[in-house]
Formats: sequence, C-alpha cells, structure tokens
Amino acid sequence: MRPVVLVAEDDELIAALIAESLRDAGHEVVLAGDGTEALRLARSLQPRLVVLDLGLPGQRGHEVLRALRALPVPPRVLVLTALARAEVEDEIRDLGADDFMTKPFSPFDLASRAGRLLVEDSTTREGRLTDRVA
Amino acid sequence: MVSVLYVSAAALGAMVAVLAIVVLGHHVITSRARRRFAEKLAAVTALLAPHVVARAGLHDAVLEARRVHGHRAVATVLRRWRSELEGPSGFAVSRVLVEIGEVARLTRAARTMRRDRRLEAIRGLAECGGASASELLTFTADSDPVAEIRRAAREGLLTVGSRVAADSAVRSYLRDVRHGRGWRRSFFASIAERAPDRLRELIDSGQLIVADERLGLEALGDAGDVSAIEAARARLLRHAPELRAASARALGKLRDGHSVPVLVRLLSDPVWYVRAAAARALGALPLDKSASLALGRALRDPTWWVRAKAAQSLSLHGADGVEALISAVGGGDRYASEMALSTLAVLDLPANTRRELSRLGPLATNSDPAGAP
Repeated sequence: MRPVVLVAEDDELIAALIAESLRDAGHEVVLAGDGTEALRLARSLQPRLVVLDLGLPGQRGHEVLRALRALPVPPRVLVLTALARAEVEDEIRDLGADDFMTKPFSPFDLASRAGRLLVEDSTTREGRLTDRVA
Repeated sequence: MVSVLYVSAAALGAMVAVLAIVVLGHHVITSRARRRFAEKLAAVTALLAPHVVARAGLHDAVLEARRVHGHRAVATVLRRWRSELEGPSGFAVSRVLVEIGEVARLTRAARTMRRDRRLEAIRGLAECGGASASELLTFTADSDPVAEIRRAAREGLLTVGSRVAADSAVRSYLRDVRHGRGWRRSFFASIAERAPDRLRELIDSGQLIVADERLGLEALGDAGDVSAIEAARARLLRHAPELRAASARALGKLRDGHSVPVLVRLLSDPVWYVRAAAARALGALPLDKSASLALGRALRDPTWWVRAKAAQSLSLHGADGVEALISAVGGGDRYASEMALSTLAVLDLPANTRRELSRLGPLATNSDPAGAP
C-alpha cells in the first residue's frame, strides 16, 4: 500500500500543484484546506507525512504542528512557508518539524524531500518493529 | 394631507423594494459568476498541474485549456503558480505566459491612467516573471508617479531572477525617495532571498545609508546567507552602533562560531543595544568556558534588556548555562539574581532544583527599555 501524504494548504491552486508533485512521485495524497480539517484527517488517516503550510486559516500552522507531534503515532512533517527568516526556521524545528522549505518552491525538490522523509520514517518504523520482535 | 402621506410612503416603499431587488439580483449574478470562475480554475488546475510538474506537453495542454475554459482562467492559474514556483517548472510557466499573450495583455493594461488598474497590471506582470516582463517593470520602477506602483515593479524585478533585473531593482530603490522602515525592510528581505549576491555587493559598495546597511545585513542573516559572514564580521567594530548590533545579530543567525571572541568583546560595548545584540547572538553559538563566564557577567549589566538577553542565551547552553544562572541567583547581585530566577522559572528543571530555587524569592517583573533601534 502506498503511504498517505496529507497536504495542508489553504490556496487550492497551490495545493493542487503540491499534490500533483507528490502523486507524480508515487504517493497517495489527501488535501486539507485549513488547520482543523488537517488535524481531523491526520487523526483518522494516520498519514506518514504531512506537508504543512504555516499560514493556514482556522488553527494556525504552529498549533497544528504542535498537535501533530502530540499524536500517538506522529507523522513526519515538512513545513512549507513564505517566511524565510532564520528564527522562524529555528522555531519551527523546535516545534518538531522534520524539514523546512520556503516558497517559491521547486516541485522536484518538494517531491525528493518528501521521499527522503518517508524513507527515514520507514527505517524508523522497521527499527521499532525489529526491537519489538526481538 | 393624509393621502399625500400615504402616496409618499408607498413611493418610498416601492423604491426600497426596487433597490432591494437590484442589490439581490446583483449579488445572485456575481456569486454565480464567482462560482463558475472557481469551477473553471479547478478544471484548469486539474488539466495543467501534471504538465507543470512533469515539464512536458505544457504548451499544448494550455492551448486546450484556453479553448475550453477561456484565457482568463488559464492565465490566472498560471500566474498564481508562477509566483510560487522556482527552477525549471517556474521558467516553463513564464514561457507559456508569454506564448499565450498574457504578458502582452498586461503590458497594454499597464499603460492605463487609472492607478488601481495599473497597479493590478504591474502586479500581474510581476507574477509572470521572465525577461519579457522586465523591460516594462524597469521602466515603471524608475518612472511611475505612484510610489506603490514603483514598489510593485521593483518587487517584480526581483522575481525575474536575472542579474540585469536585480540591478534595475537596486538602481530604482537608490533613486527613489526614502520610505518608511516597513517598505525598506520588505525590499531588503526580497533581495536577500532572491538576489543575495547583489545585496552583498550593495552593502559593500558604500551607497547605502547606515540604516539601510543595517537592514541589508539583518536581511542576509534572516535569509541564512552564510556568504554574508565576511561582510557582517567586517562591521562588528564599526563606528556606527546600529551596524555593530546588526552585524552581531546576523552572525548569531548565521551560526558563525569564529565570531565568538569579538562578540564577547561587544558585551562591554558602551551602547546598550550593541551589548544586548551580542548577548543574544552568543546564545546561538558554541561557547567555551571563558565565553560562558563573560555571558554570566552580562547578567549584571546595568541595562535590563542586556541582562534579559544574557539570561536567555545562557538558558540555551545546557548544563553550563543553567549552572551560571543558578550561581547568579545566589550571587548577591540583585539585577543578576532577578533575571536568572525569572529565566530559570520557565526552564524544565529537576524537581529538587526547582524547590531550592522557589525558596530564594519571587519571580522578577521588568519593563522594556525605551529607544531600542
């Protein structure tokens, strides 16, 4: 089964482009248009990766990120933001984001970073499984 | 008399009813048009997104989308994407925007005397990116009588991505009248992100006033441009205190460990906001014992803001920093003790340490100093 990637982005035109970049790389993609919907889908679908726009309406990106990290099985989080400030990056990483990209973005770069995070996630999960079996 | 009143009331009622019908009708028509346009955008998006991502067959897909959904929907989607895309996909979208005549349409629209339409056209051209838009953007950035339109044109030039366009944006900025700090900060943030090489040259050229040089350095630090380290180091001991503070802040953001000795020296600077900037920057850098001790001494600085930044930085340096804060609590200096105590209060400390600290006194309350640049 292909891993589910949740894209939380309020701009439908940009969300479609992000989703297409990820689908083109072979991922199953689900879209959320605001923070509340993103959290609801994250709880019900348990995606392996969330591509999160920080400027979401409803629950802001920072709150969503914090809530995602508190889930029983936290997904990997790739933050996408128009803010390029170094301290914003520090803050986001402190909140538990696994990677960080600024807009404008390259679809190729986005797909490759998402792929890398999913590979890391698989390795971590396999490690946990091996520990449990042992 | 009564009948006149009745007739007047009836006429007024009829006018209100007609007005309500007109407003309601207008609302129904415009919301239907908006919904239809949104449906068109969704259809165009679904049709074109695979071609933009794969960078294949985009031209033909755009022609087909235009035939089915019209020029406006296709151009809106492509412009929106172009402003968020970089790399080959972005260039491909720019090329198509020229091919379908969108750049030419906006160029014509930008000649109007109406400033709102001209601004809209210039913003649209800025979204299109690419060299074909840059000629008009350059002309507008240099000569439009409206400051906001000149600014939109400069922003557009920075999105084009070429050296020539970045030069035009800089030339226009230098020629223009000086605006508020928000506008200037926004210009430097854009150029630091899109043309950092050009910004470094501008900072080194001596053409900027001190306040702008400072904004430029900070923007390069915010953008994480490590090649700005040399420029920032060179300004750490400059005469202008704004430059010393901005350089310290940039070097902290750029994680330049080699600057620690100079930053430690700046903890004794005669200007308080330079000392505060140095103390804050040291929080982001690896410190040896002597640097940690110097930061600990900054807890006794006469300016509250410097003590706060020193305490904040010490709290970021793990066990050594926490140790320095704890020793400051019991060190006999009231300033240092208050600030260390309030910083330790928000840290995740072991229960016994926390109990011991709570016996030493209540948390300090302070106010911000005025006049920080």
